[in-house]
Amino acid sequence: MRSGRKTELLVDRLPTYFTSDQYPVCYQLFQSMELCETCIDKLPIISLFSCVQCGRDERVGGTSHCRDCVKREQQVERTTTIHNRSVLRYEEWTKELISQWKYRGDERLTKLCSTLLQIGFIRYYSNERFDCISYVPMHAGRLQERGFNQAEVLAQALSIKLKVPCRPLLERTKETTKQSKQKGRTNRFFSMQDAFQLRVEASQDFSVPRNTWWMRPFTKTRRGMRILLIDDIYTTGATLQACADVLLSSELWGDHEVRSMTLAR
Amino acid sequence: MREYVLYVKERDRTASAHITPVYEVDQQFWAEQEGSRLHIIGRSRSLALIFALREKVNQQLKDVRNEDGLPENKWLDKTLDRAKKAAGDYTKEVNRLYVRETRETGYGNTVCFQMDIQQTEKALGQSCRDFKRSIQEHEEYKLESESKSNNQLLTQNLVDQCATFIETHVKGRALLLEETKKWLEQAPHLETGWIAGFQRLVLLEKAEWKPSVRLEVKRSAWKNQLLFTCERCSSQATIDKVECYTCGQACAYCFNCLSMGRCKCCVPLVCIPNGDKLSLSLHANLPTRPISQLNTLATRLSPPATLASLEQQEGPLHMHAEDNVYLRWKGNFSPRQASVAEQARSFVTSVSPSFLIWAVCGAGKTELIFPAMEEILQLGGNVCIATPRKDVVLELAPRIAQVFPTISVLAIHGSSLQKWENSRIVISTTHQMLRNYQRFHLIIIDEVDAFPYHGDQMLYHAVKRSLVPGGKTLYLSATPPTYLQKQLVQFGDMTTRSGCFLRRKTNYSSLPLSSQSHAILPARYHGFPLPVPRVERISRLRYKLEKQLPIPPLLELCNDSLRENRQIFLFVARIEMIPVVLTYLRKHFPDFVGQIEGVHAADPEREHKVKAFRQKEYIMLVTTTILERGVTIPRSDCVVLEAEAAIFDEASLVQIAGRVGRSADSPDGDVLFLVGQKATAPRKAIRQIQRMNKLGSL
Repeated sequence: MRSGRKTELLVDRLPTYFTSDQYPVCYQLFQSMELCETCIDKLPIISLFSCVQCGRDERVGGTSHCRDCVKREQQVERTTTIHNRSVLRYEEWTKELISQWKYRGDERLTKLCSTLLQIGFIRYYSNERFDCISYVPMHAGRLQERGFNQAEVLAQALSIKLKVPCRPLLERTKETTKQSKQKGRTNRFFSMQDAFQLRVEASQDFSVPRNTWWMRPFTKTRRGMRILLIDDIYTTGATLQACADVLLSSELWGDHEVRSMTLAR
Repeated sequence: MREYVLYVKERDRTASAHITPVYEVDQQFWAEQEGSRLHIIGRSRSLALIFALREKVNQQLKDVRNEDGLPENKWLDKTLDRAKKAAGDYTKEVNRLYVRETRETGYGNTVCFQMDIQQTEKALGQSCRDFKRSIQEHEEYKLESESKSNNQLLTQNLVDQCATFIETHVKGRALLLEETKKWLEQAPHLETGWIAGFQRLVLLEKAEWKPSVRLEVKRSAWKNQLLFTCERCSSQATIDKVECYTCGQACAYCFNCLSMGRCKCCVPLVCIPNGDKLSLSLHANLPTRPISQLNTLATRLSPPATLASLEQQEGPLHMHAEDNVYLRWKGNFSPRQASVAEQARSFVTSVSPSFLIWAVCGAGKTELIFPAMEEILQLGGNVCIATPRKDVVLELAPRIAQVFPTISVLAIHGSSLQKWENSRIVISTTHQMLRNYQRFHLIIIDEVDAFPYHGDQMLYHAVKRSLVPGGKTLYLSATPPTYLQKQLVQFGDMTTRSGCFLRRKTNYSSLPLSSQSHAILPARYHGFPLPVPRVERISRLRYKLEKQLPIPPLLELCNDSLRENRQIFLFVARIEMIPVVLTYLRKHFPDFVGQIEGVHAADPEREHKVKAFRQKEYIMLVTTTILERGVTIPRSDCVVLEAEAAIFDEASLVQIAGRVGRSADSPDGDVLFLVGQKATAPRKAIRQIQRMNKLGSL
């Protein structure tokens, strides 16, 4: 391969996804990632025409929503849906990346994944200010089996880069069967009911000012909390929705706003 | 999560440290041997740390042992104090080093290893309590059906039952603990005592626990460092330090052998050697067979005798008449093949640990190993054939199964379902060898020079570990790497003179045909010499290919071959060159546009294309080095484009040249190396081929 091919590809591809003020930072981040030319060529970055609500790379003609969101709006039952953004489309390449990282346990890929997430943050949320980053918890049994919580690792890395505190606000009470092995949208939503609850220590977490000297201290504002939820994959949104519901229903800190970001959608 | 207990066993003023996941079993075991007392030192979840501590404590205990003259009580107190202090200090040191090494990546948030040093005798580990409870639950269910008896005894029975099950079924393996649970499907009632059963075997010294990633402190004058080593693949550079939720503390995993399950500090690797003994011990067998018999065997095997017919003949050779004869092979050996096969056979019963069969491409290597396999099988041993590629495993398995019809042949590769079965003949890819532990008496390594072996220490380590102590290794190759040549080929000596000094030096140019540890088969089975390649230097070769300018030697060769209706291999160094060469050929041979094709490793239609080439649907095939081995096309020629590329080393070029002239009806063919720049590898390859031809014509 010719030298500078990577740069060539990046210069070719990136301007379509990023605005001129995001571009220089993102270009640097892409350059710092350990990806080969073929991978950068294949990288399924979500395009500009994605769903406003869930971040899916698809819009039903004429609207600004994807098929799922349009359908959900028609059903009327569930009015609140989580505002989500994702970095990559859940395709072959992303599947391979996530299975290698999550299921095989190749934790070297953590760095790559967290950089991708950071790029996503710059792209979608750079104008917004969050007070806290949290993540989708894993059941203790599953956690012990796997050895690490991929959402937590991502959230920690992002928190360090953004200097926003990362707190484990939630815990999992119910051991559900793996989301990836469940069939059907309603099934997934159903199984997620009451799967999470607020941690007892959650309120104390915020009273701790900061865990390192460079972290921005938590300040309680009048408008309530703005929380960013992190997960690795958004498929139907069942998990993230359940988490957001728990956070929103708790009356600890007034009315908050919950946004979410995932690696793949 | 499982906790491991480090304790000291003391008896008659000698003490040693041991590790157990289930303290109960150890208590019982040592109670059977009277007079020994146990004292817990501490507990930890990190297996790597506790094994490092055991070594440290054992060192300390050795020092204490020498101090006599103390009264019994004082001696014991002093011993335990020392052991605990050593353990505590070592843990601190490890943690200090670990924090120092992970500080940068962890952004100041670092974790460390935990070790609870036991201060009082009373508290038992969590694991022991868990075990007791689970046993009781299990026993209650059992007691309902049986009469009430001693609870202790029943526990003992269960553990023994597990131990015997493991010993009989899971032998000759080195597995992560999770992998051993595959056998639990066969014996679900043993689940409770599974770990205890292992521990029982360890105490009986029939098995071994190991942390799958080992930890030690590497001391040096400049600075001390932590050294992690993967016990399965023995690599040190491929260890990543992480925080682990499985053991809830600092941990490290190996990413070199990740595809076979994660090796971590907190996951034990269970090694259970194969207890099978050879019916006659290898060395004891030598004197029992008189030399005269061996000689007659050798003479009888010489041309044109066949092994199969020999087995049926009467006479001194019929010593195995009462044994089973496993080999049912009807083929013939050529005189040269017969002598090499006989040497390999006698190697099995000799004292030397390894043997090299150096046979040129197309000499019929597979058949040569049959007598050796037969010999080891008759002695009651197990054989493994390790080959680098899955395709070869699949191709070889039916051939071997046909020749040894009475024994089931296992084909083991990454996606095979037979991985967990046992058999006496196993054909395995090299990576699967990592799961074996002292299992085979003879390992035959095919294509030593091929990709995974070459320059990979891990696979040699795997092979070494899979052999029972005193087992044999048989290397097969057409182009053995230099280090193997130096190790096994006994070159002649020569005297050199520098000034007035005379020196004995190894003479690498004198290549003996056979010795104690190697045998060379320099000619093909049909007896014709190997085609010698030509080298043509073309200036600006790449440019000419890209611009489709004529390259006379290439075009001449292609025209000649097309006229004689022969097929052509074109080897290129990189995948990106394939379309370039394809357009070049299609431009210059417009009549054959449909019959020119390219293939590479990632090609989805790879197998189909190779098959079509074999059936002569294609005339020219442009390929990367994937087809350098194992492909036999009867009437073919070979061109290597850009033979100066690093990927074409001497061995690779010899293999490529060996594709040509393999069948008896057309033993000649053209091999052309086109180089753009001066290169040594083609010249070396040609020299090696010429040397073999010379040896073959003797």
